[in-house]
Amino acid sequence: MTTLLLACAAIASTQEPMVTARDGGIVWFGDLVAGLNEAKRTNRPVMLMSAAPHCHNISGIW
Amino acid sequence: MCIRLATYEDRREADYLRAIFAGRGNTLENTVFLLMTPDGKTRLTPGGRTPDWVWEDASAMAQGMKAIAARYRPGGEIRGVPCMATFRLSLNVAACDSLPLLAAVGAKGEDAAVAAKSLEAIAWAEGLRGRIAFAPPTSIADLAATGIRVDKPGIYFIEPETYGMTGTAKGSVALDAETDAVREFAKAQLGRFVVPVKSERSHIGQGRAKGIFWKTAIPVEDTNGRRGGG
Repeated sequence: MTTLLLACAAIASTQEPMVTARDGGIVWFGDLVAGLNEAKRTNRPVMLMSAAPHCHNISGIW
Repeated sequence: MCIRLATYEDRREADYLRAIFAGRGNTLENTVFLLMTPDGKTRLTPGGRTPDWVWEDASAMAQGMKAIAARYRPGGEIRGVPCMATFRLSLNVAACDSLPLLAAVGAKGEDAAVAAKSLEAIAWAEGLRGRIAFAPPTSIADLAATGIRVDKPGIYFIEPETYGMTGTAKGSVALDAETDAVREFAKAQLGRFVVPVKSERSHIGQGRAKGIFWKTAIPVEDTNGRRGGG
């Protein structure tokens, strides 16, 4: 997840030099069908990942 | 387009993920990562568990993603309210991301869909994008099932408790409020939201001590990794 966030920050920083944390994070589609429908409709490649929203079965943490 | 699925929460999605990347014995791993064509049918990178399986570091990842994006000409703005399948899962994922949750709550649930346009506008708004999580149209009973009590329909700003099993409704506006009013409401609430800081070790230790355990929709298959869950 750290690599992902750093990469997104790197991409953003080349486009908008003044980007800060308060400018927002990643907007994730959490539903496969809805996400793919939008990707197809807008002709955008998909960054797909999955993660379990629990750690050692404890919720509230990736 | 960013899609992040919750592993072990939907059988159909699990089968899709397993076809992309599976562990020994065809087990569905806790995490999966890759880039795909817009139709989700062709791989643009090898499948793996994390971006580190594809790129050496964040800089290489950024360059690789930019090169792939440059091959496509986007057609129109992204629409829709990005959210998880259920309120319960949305609440937990919001807690995982340390984000507040905005939920359109109706008497029955489906009547909350009237707020979809307002939520969509907020989801992609400059300054709010990625800073608020969203739930699908929800009912008062759905909230009550997680211990969140509200007495009327509305668009609720909810702070998840640290384990995402319950939360607190901090305020609401009417389901049919104008988009500008909902946006201002969300901005004001977000301004008061204190982003929680979590220590993985103490979070898990205290969660175990309190007996707070997440029940997945389908069985967890990846039991050999560092984490039993995420």
